[in-house]
Amino acid sequence: MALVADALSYTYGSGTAFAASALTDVSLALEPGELVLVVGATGSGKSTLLRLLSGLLEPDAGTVLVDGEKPGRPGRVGIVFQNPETQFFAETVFDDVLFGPRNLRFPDAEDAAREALASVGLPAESFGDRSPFTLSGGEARRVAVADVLAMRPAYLLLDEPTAGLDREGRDAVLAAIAVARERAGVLVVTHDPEQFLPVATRVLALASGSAAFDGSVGELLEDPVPYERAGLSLPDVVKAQVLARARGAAISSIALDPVRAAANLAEARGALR
Amino acid sequence: MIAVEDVTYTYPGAGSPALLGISAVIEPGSWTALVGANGSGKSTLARLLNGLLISSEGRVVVDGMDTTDEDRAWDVRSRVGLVLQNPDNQIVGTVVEEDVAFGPENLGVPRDELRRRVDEAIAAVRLTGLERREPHLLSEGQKQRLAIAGALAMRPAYLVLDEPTAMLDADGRSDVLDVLRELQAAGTAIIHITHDLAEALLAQRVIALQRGTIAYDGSATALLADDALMNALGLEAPPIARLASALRGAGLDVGAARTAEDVVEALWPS
Ligand SMILES: Nc1ncnc2c1ncn2[C@@H]1O[C@H](COP(=O)(O)OP(=O)(O)OP(=O)(O)O)[C@@H](O)[C@H]1O
Ligand SMILES: Nc1ncnc2c1ncn2[C@@H]1O[C@H](COP(=O)(O)OP(=O)(O)OP(=O)(O)O)[C@@H](O)[C@H]1O
Ligand SMILES: [Mg+2]
Ligand SMILES: [Mg+2]
Repeated sequence: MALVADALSYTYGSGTAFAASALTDVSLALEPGELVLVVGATGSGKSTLLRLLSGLLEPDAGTVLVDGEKPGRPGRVGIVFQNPETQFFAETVFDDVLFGPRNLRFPDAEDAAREALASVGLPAESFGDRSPFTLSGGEARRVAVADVLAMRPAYLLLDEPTAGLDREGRDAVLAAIAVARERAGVLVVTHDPEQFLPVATRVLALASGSAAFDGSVGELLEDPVPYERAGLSLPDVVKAQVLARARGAAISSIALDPVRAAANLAEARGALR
Repeated sequence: MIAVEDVTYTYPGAGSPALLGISAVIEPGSWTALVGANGSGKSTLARLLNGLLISSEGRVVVDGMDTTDEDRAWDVRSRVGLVLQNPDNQIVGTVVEEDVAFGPENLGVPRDELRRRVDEAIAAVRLTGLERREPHLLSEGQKQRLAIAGALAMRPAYLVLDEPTAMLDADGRSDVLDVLRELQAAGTAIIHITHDLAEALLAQRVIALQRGTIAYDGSATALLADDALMNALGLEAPPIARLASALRGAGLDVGAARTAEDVVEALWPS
């Protein structure tokens, strides 16, 4: 059981004067229970990779297999687009979220929709009757996440699921992802790796369409050079410890949490004195 | 200045107002950060500032022009630039450079000047090379940069940016913040909507909205120092500030450290 992408390449507008290569030879495996982070600069190919994994685009080279099959079977792979409004179509928020589970003939479709909305902090009682097109930016993103959670897919592909969210919304989405992950594989594209690194299993960093780093979070923290060389910046809290090490501070293991990072720095500072 | 006078706004068909009795004055050349939880009314206020929305009660006056005055609507929009939260709602041109040219062209900016403004704006957001690309074929971050370029080319006196960095990578964020600093230095007033308190620290003034009312209006540092208020407003200190405060707790004062470099320099001076 896994979503496996092998050596994917993709060029937009192949054969035209505007042909632009967006992804070159990228491989990835996502198993239930895993959380893979995909990071990279603007235009590095992250959303293109998601379109290929979900079967929205066909790769020019390479293959995508979802539990051994070509992608496309309804309900297996759920994708949340980077621009949430592009995925809404129903007249009300509740109908938008209900559409997936109902189409998949869940016997408890309404409950699935209600639970999904509650899990992102937008109770159906207050938001269910609203038009999805009149929501605030953060509310819209949360509904987009609920749309996909309600379908209980085996693989969740989330493009910037926390962008524009306030603290409460972000914490709700992180908690919902943690629950979904008990049975699903989750892939998150983000410009804010800080929030996801503590719970991620792997990190794939893209630079100009190619993998610049592919490894565990531990590997990334212990040797961030390839990551930084790809033009990506480490979270401030991590960077402080990496810089401190470069100045001779003895830090045995890099912490992601600000409080633990402070303890690391304080201890090293004491030891130096 | 922009004077927001006791403004209440209710969306058509909505049960309760999105903004309730808001008053504030935005001075020319100032830098204000606008923060608050999802749905607190930030984007609504942004759209009221340039007359895209008209308040049901109270009024907004831009350099003496009431935004309800339809004869002055175009003047108001050219003085108050607005970068929308969702760039798709703003992009009008068929290719990147036409989109950037659209606003100033409508202002009647002469050809040579137009070319210069467009090239400068495109360079400022690093979209050089993509001038002839169709906007809908850009990545989301590239679209966000395009929307910013369009507003820059208008050379507005007040620039309202609704979460302009939400979809950008770290370099893109610092590019945009650098551009804002340059604009302010040249006299443009900046109104910057953000969820990132580290970005809000760049502003002289922070206005925090809570369920449609102004819950805080003051300096970023005073807001960050007030844990109870931060919590009540659903805001969160940036991780580097939390690191600095934990270090203080351990007896290590790193001052007003805002970057990883600041922290390390304070602890291990080079
Ligand atoms: N067109 C609309 N019709 C009805 N209600 C709306 C409309 N647009 C926004 N609202 C509601 O008005 C309130 C304020 O929305 P606004 O977009 O100003 O919030 P915001 O502070 O910008 O939030 P976010 O951080 O999520 O972008 C929200 O409760 C929202 O659901
Ligand atoms: N439909 C399209 N036609 C042509 N080129 C495209 C199209 N969509 C994306 N591109 C280009 O392909 C490259 C990769 O785009 P993609 O959307 O995958 O980037 P991304 O990593 O998701 O960026 P962002 O962080 O800005 O969302 C970019 O250079 C982009 O301009
Ligand atoms: Mg993208
Ligand atoms: Mg908004």
